[in-house]
Amino acid sequence: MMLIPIRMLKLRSITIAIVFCGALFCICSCSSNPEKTNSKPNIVIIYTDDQGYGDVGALNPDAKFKTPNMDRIANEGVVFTDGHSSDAVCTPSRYSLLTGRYSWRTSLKKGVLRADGPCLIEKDRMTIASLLKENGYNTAMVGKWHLQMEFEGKVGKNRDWSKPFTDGPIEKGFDYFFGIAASMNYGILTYLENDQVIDPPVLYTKKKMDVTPRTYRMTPPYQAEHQRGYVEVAPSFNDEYVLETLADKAVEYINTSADDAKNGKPFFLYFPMTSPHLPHCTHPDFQGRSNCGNYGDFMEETDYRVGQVLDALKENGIEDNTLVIYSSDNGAETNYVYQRDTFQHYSALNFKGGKRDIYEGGHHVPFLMRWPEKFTAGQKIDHPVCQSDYLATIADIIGADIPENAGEDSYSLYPLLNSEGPDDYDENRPVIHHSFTGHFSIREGDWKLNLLRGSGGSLEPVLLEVEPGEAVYELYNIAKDPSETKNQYFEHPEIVARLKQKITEVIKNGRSTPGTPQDYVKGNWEQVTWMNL
Amino acid sequence: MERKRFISLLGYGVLGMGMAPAAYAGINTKKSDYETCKSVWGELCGDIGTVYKTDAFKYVHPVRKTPNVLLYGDSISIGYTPAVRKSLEEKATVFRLYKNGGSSQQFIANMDKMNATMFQPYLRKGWNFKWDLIHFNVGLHDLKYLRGKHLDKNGEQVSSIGVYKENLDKICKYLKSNYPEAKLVFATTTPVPENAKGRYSGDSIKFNTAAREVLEQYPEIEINDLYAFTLPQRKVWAQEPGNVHYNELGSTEQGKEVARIIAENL
Repeated sequence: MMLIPIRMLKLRSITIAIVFCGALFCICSCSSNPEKTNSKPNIVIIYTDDQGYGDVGALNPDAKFKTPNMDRIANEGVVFTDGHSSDAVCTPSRYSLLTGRYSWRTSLKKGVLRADGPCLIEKDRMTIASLLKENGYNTAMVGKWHLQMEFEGKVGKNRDWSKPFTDGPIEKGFDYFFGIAASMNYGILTYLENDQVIDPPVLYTKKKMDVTPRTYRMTPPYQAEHQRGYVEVAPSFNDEYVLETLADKAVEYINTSADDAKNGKPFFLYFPMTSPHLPHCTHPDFQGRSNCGNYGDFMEETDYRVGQVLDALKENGIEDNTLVIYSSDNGAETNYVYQRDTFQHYSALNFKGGKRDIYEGGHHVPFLMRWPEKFTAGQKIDHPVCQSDYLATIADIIGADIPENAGEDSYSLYPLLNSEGPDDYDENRPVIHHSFTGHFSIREGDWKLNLLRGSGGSLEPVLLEVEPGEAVYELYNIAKDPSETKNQYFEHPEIVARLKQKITEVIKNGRSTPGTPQDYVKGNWEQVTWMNL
Repeated sequence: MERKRFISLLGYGVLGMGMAPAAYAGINTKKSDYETCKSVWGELCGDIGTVYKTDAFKYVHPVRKTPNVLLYGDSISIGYTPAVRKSLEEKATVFRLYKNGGSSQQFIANMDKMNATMFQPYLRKGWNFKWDLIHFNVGLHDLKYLRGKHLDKNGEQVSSIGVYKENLDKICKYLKSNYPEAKLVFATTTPVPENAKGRYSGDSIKFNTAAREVLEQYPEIEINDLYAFTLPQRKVWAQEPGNVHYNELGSTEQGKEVARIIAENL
């Protein structure tokens, strides 16, 4: 069957009607000039909290709970089998996702931030939201921020909840925000809308340890007086209803934005969910449903909420031209050990470690994309990639340029995904990993060099003191040894040297992508021991 | 919409010319990569092949449209693995466990380890097939007596009959739920000679009786009575009197018999 390309007929009239072999090349050159203005997709980023790679049925054939909606994204879209959060904990991963830049270039060299304080995203720094807003999108965030925002007054002293908070999502490119400030164990536990606190968090609560095995809760009763270790909570707040509330808001946003989307003004929805992060506060409707304890119940609820969003896209008739990106901010929390030993459920699949660790379990996460109109379903992509790549990928998709001082660590993944072929993608681009203690690892192709001995997180040993004559770093071939069992530091000194040189450049240049070197916070950086700053 | 239609028409056009871009075909499992699998298998086995002076642990790679058979067992099965492979050449690809299968207590952990090391998605370019048949035995390392780490009749038996039955039942359930499409064949435990170190002659009979009681619950699991097959030739095939292991003739004959049973069940 020979077909005459419709567009060429339109453009170049009847002379093209004769089809010959060379036509193929014409077709190709024609299709590489996409009508980007007409095809700007809606974009939804669903971001779970502490979900391991093994916590998606489509990725783990032996998962002990069901995730039909996550599986839908995987099966109808593209699975990146080697996708990473930029860090092994919440705050820095969220920074990188939104800005396309590694968080360790900021003042935050290790650990996470809290709820109240200056935002980690610098003033005037481009985010996915600001980029899309500039390019004619409606932009919204529904969910967990955890990059800090500034509330009026101090805890237990002179709070004024009637004042708007500053430095939050609406100052970082989002037209609309509904959600909570940080993780459920950090306070400030109340819903926020745009720059307003909805119900003043005038009571106090703390972790209550005796609810279900291996977890805690922030449930009522709450108390009126502030004590050390207590966090602020609104009288109306109930952690069991947070996921439902957030999903309902996300669906409401899709419903109200669908008309605009069909009339040439697409939307961007950033939907960072609060699960399955501790506390495992499953909605009553889902308690006891799975065969994998409270964690399994919470994951099945999470999956249901994901399904509500997917269904809203479908019901509004915008599913085909919506890019859905699905990932998690880091690997599974340490209670993966409990799920493993009790239910034989492997949240981290066969990876070593979990949340906080430099090992794969810390940051090798579910990494899915679905865009029915453009991406061939069922693709699997094995290149190591990072959530910091979302910014450049999205810019590429909508045909926008990124200035030199934005998205410094963002590689467009679009060449791997569209039909024009992967020629524009640098297969040897570095991916940097970063642990809770602020230690580094660099990945290039199959090789991974951890610039420390130990996990740098939760798995023992955390930081190994090296005896003379022992390997000072850990080198693994991830394609052959994904469980990081055999340190090849002594077998491949040339690879160690090359990767060390590469990460030195990535840090020193203030960017990992080609371009003009950019500034970054140097300061007192104890984890960078191998180079002078 | 126009662009989408254009692209899809383009796709058919290219297909029509017989130039389908294979890289974008819808694929749910990846092809397994020979070099990667071989190298990972080598790491998994370590130097066991040298220790046992056998090529039973050499790497075998799945062949398209050829059934994949797994042999799970102890040193007796290590002995007959090469003969099974030879007998089933071109009829089946015969894999074996990466180590000595040990007692019933290690079975599930050993299978899990091999699964998580060699198969997709655990190993990205790893094996992507399903077992067509699993031929398994545990017993000789259950009925043995150990003092510390050494075989000693004055020591403690590794598994009592009760524990052995419990474990074997778990094994059957595990195999059935994890490999629902595989034909399962249990081989009975070969005889223990008089004056064996750390093992009592006659215990194989007791343990095989126990095994049959468990397997009554699982009529779909075939039994290969390797005990009965071996018993008449025991003395000729034994490496030496009082040794549970077999010489080359014995291992070869056992291998042919195992291959015959496997072929019948494929």
